Amino acid sequence: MRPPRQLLSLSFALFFIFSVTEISPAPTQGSAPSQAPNGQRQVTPRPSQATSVPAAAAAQNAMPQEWTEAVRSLARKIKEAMGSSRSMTLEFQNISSISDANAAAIQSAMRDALSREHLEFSAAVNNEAVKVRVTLSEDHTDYIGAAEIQKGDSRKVALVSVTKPPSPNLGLTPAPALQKRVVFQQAAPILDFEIEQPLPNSNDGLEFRDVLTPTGLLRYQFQGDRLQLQLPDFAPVRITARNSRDVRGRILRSGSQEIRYFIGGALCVAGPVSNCSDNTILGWPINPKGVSWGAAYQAGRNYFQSSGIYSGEVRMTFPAFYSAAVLESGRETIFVLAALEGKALLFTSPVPSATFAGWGDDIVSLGQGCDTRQQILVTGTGDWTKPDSLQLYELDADRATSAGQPLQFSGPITALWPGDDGKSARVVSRDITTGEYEASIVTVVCNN
Amino acid sequence: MLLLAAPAKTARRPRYGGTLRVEIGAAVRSLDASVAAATAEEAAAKAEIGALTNDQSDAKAAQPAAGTFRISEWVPGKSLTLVANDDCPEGRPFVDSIEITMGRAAKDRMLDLELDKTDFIEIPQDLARHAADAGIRISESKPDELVALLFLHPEFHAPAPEELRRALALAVDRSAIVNFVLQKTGEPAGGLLPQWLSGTAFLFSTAADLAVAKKQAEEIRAQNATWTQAVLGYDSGDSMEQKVAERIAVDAREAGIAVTPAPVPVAGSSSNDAIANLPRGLNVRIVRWRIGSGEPGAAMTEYLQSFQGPASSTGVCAIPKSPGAEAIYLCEQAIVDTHEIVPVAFLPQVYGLSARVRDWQPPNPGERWPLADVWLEQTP
Repeated sequence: MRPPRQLLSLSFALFFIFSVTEISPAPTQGSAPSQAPNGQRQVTPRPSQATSVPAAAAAQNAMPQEWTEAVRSLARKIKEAMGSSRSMTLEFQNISSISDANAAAIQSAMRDALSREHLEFSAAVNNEAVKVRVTLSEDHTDYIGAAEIQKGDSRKVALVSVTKPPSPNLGLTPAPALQKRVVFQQAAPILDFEIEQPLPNSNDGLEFRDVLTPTGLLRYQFQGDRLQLQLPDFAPVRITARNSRDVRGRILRSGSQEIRYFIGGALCVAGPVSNCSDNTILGWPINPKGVSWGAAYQAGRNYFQSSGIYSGEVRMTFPAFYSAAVLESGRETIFVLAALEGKALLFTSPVPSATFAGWGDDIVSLGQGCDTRQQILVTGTGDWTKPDSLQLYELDADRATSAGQPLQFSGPITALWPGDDGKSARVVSRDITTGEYEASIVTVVCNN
Repeated sequence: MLLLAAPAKTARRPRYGGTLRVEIGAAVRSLDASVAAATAEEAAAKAEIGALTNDQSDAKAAQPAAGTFRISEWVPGKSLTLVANDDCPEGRPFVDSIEITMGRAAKDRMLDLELDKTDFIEIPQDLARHAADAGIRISESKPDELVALLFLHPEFHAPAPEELRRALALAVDRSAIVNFVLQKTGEPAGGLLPQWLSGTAFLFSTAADLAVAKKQAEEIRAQNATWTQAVLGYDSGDSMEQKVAERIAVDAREAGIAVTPAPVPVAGSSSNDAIANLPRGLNVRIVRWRIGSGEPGAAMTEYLQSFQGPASSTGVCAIPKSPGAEAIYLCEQAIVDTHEIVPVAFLPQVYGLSARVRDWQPPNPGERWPLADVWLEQTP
């Protein structure tokens, strides 16, 4: 699937999820079709799938809610197709991405529904019985339940469809050093995001999520246990900066009334009165909470040009870069830049003192780690058609050592920004299977 | 999508710069929409190039192109150079320019890719396996092209009675065609839409039944010996269609049906001259239908429009607005049951990529090549 770059509109289908601490197992795919001896196309069931499920096991698996009506409807259609016959054999197979557990639950529910239609299940050797085969299939938007009803030489087909639910949430991972908490998902591109916790003296205790998209900022607020788009807070903003095909954006300061953010070469303020202005000269503040350093966003591109910075009395001039990590260690400030040629450069003086190869283009500083060494989070290599990963590195003078296992993602990481606390990172990734964008917060856990 | 032999990579965010070298087989002589394409291949190439420039007018038109690229230089039928449009509303393409060389034969294109003389080529489906074995970096789309037998309108051609159509449909060994002729690129087709699109392709049988086909052919011959004869047309410029036609002739012979493959000079032409030049007795031909939409309802509607005409199955079904899986399946089944069209195989589009091409993803049905999103890894 191609990295979508659709413009966000209020009519987009948005998927709202909550932070969770469980990981859902990835659904497996069905096998390729083969030819049955009777000429009918047959799909070989996956090795783990059975055509019947022990009652106890079935009872343990709750059927997905969206299948409830579909199962009833399909049972009615099967009964109608059987006419006056009441005896049937039932074969069940799953060639979709529905998990084995859910498929077993659907199968069990199917049998129950057919029983309620006063149909009887017969032994396979009974030639008088109507042969029914139910197949769980899918196209790119829906799951499909298909029943083939063979009565003598007559064959009928009945179909039901179920819209596919939103992608499962990926929560905490078992990675020993890095942990991920997914806080938001949507189909439209996400450039950055922020979570606003309730104010200390707030009566409503509302938590907000601000989501930056290529066309502006959206705010979501919890209503009960669901996130709702909150429209009236911000006046719509028309982005005036020329877009890049790989547009980047960042939320840099927020308050309850006004939020400042950067999109490409534009600086925007979202609030009761919103506006955007050209910002190609002043640039983005790269290190907002520490050493002051701004870098101009190259118009129409996806990287920064730095005019340089004074570190003490020494002026340092940097090459163009995709991202940078600024680490302050004692009296020394360390600048690590992901340069355009695909290598990361470490500066403590005007001349780079170290080069790191094999790093991705997005890096952030996570401050001091478990053993006081400075930490940098780095994306993986590969293009946007591949799954990505985050790797933690610990800096010791001008050496970087990988620490812990990489944290895997289901698609490319499209944005990586430091968290406001200086110890976490805001990560935006895109699932290459579903195309959905996912906003996560990644932190480091010190394992003793 | 299949991506084999991906090379090592060193960077992730798209890089700007470089010239993407593309080779296509068709010799595109005009981008002017008013000038009809000589072949289906040229029409497809024109559509791809036109979509990049968003300019269907002549290269010398006064109005500048509004697409992702602008035409910089053009030698009709030979080469075309496009340069990135900095004012593209979606953002400037990552590559600076695209150089398109036309009229290269498939094997020459593959050789050029191996020798690093080009970055992007189309590969005929029957050569995909050979290309992969040669170490070429391959990208495959989802199967989005239907290869089928279309029985032609009796007004112009010798009619093929329904009994013959049914017998031939049972005689065709689709699995053997996919495995041996197409070298396992693609999948057998029993319906009009592939499984990933409709979710119900598995309900259509793809198996041959030689015994029943033979029996039906005997019954037909008993009524009229000429009814077991068919002339099967294929595009004379398409070696894959020729191979498929020859294989079908072999299968048909096993069932007692005499099928004679015959090259058709111009694909899809309906002019009087073209009809006069058609092989004598032509009553069935191989057609390749590229699915134009990722929505099954829209794809079926398009199919009904593509094969409109007295010989088609028009009137057998109609697709409602926002059709569900059942409505689409019933329509498909109704059309297949007429045997006016006999699906044979679903094919993917196959592309060859050089080592430096990044972020290429094969387009979905109805979409054009996303070359504006491709970038080139700069070799050190």
